Amino acid sequence: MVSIQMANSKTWKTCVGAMVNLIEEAAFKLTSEGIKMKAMDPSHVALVNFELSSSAFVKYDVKQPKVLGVNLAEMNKIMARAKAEDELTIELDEEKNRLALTFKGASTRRFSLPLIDVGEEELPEPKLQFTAAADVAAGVIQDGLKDAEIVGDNVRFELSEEGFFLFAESERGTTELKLHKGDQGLLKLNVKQPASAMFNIKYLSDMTRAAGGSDVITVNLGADLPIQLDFSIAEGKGRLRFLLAPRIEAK
Amino acid sequence: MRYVVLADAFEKLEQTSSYLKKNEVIADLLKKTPPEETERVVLLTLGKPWPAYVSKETGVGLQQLKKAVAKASGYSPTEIERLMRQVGDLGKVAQQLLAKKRQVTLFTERLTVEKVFENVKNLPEITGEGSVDRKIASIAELLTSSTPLEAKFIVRTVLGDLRIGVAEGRLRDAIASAFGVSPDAVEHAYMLTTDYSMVAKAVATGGEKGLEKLNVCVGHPVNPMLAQRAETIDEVLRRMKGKAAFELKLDGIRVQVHKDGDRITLFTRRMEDYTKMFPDLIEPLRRALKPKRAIVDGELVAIDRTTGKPMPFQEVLKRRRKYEIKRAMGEIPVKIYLFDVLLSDGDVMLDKSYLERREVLEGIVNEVEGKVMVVEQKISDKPDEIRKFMDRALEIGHEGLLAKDLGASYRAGRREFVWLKLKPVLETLDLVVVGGLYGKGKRAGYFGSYVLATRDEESGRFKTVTKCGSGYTDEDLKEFTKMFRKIQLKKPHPDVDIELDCDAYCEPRIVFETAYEEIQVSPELKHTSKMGLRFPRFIRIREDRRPEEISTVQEIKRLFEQQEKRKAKTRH
Repeated sequence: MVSIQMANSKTWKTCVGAMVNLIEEAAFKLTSEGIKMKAMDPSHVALVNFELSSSAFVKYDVKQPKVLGVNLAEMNKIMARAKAEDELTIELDEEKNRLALTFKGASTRRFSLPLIDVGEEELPEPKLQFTAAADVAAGVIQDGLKDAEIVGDNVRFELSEEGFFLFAESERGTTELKLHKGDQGLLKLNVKQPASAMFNIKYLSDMTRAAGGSDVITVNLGADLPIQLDFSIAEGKGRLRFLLAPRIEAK
Repeated sequence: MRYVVLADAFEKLEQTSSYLKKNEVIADLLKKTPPEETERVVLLTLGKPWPAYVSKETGVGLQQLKKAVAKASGYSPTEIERLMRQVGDLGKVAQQLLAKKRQVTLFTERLTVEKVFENVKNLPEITGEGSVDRKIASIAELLTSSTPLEAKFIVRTVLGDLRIGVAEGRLRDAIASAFGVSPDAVEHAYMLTTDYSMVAKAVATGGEKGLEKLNVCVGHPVNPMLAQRAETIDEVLRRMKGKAAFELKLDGIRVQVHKDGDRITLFTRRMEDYTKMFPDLIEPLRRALKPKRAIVDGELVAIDRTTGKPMPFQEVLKRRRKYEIKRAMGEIPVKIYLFDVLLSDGDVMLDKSYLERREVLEGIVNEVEGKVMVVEQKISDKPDEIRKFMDRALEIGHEGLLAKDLGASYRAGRREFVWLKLKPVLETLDLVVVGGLYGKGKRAGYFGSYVLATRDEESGRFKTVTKCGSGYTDEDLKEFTKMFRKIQLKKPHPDVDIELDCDAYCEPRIVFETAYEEIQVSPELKHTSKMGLRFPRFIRIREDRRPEEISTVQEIKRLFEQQEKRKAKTRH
């Protein structure tokens, strides 16, 4: 049986909201330690890696390891109805092969969602040698992406000893965002070797959309490597990680 | 099986126009194909993940496909648009762009035939909210993993236009040589099933024995048996040993009715599913056919409500457009006249004689007045009686008579002298459009005349016979120009022999029924069929006719000889 409960709906709501634009279906793997989900978008450009420890739950009753396949778009529609402060309960109805989601706030609302078969392909996780990392306020990155969208489809990320930079450029013009060492939005900077690479803005905004402005994103970069974005969730009891393949600069 | 094997073969097929070479390429491909993949490989080679008679489209337009290419290659839609204007073929655009991808992927997998087949086949099933994006994602999924060459053919497959010059007919010889069976046996199996993927699978797994096991089955259209022409009643009686069955020849649409329990399906001669066009016939047919499962052959006719007489066949086809079906149901009622039976419950009737089939037909049909009838028929050996029957047929407004050999079996897909049509009117020819010339004056901007071709039975090639510039309304020309543009080519199609210079060429697909005053000998430099038509006049478009079924060089030659004989007689 599966019956788990979180004190509020915020974590689940934001995570599903961040994943839904990248992948259609998700197979959540539940074990006694917690929940894991890993999936790649159909174009093989982005990878989602989600982990949430059982300690993030007020009640976590998972007797046997279980894989729950869901249509994320459907789950997102339901989660969109939840208020962030609603207590969330997720239960498995094994007979009907459905998932029940209960929001307890001013009233108690209950939704159910059919489970689906999701192919469990083993996803290779690329081994990447990142050379620079930074903790950046999500709001700063969200702003930089919105700026870059004005001129083009792609944005260049750069990390050096001086700080964190975003550049976009096209025939329509240029935009740049600079976050220097010591600026409020740059919480940590660790550069072994300066790194820069270019990425598609659409993917990045899908990944960062759900984050709150004051949330912290850990950015890992290498020269023309994929970018790794880590979001700490549920007060550090979980992590949502995105990998996004770079673009090759137009000549 | 890797998809790249298929893509390599497609590339070779696109590069060559030689029939033999193409044959060799397809045969090689089939030999390399594991038996369990045969159906997929054959269908993909023919361009669609389902047999031709299944009326399904991927439902993905050019614009959506551009987005998928953009997603997979990392180029912007504007850049794709720009390249598209230069290259003109999104398949080639995808090929070029994937060779210099801007979007890196996290990992790549090698495409299999199965993956491509399933993703494309599943496209029409993606419906509802967000379906456009999900279709794009599904195509982009294939394109991100594909090599540039694979991308070219995936894009074209989704568009439904593979452009490798493999018509269904070619599969016959290729299957025969790949598996060492006779082309006739392959063709016969195809005529029964109308599905080369089934045929190839049967040979690949069971050899010639496997082929023999194939038979007609409900739901799979059978290639209809066709009639030859006869000039006179005497000729008919001579060819049919003095006695024959005569049926009214109706001017309508040939329709094959399949009944499977409650399910009724209507196929045209081109083996297209027309069930949706005639909702008003489904229930009557369900009631009229007594067996649980049956295949019957008939002619669908439109009736003029005021005169009660049959209407010209174009009127029936006016229902083609979806929004007009409802209105047409009231305005143009249709009837179906049944004249043959191919299957009745467990009994396959094809090898039975005409007389036996007719008897069974009469036994299994409960006529539904005004909707489902058995066609009127008379068995006779007396020319006078036949003449009277003919006159009556013409009087009611029918085209003439069909004479049928009493002992002949149902020869699927064949046009033999055991069925003969007798028409008193001036002969017309069905010819295929292969080129166009711009009109002048108020027809400027449209094609004002078309170069028409006949088909050589022996080589299967299309050979020009006339340039036809009269008989069209302005509306016709507008519509045909639009149709032409969709299949326009810069050079003549590889299957066409043409010496005339045209303003544009097209794939041999559109069939015109054409009247003429006389057949003439033409210098080969002008018309490659070596024959020409005097005063050609467009009569109507024949959407029920496939280019493989148009008037052949041999038929026109025969008509020419008959015409010369007639001329000689009147001269005396």
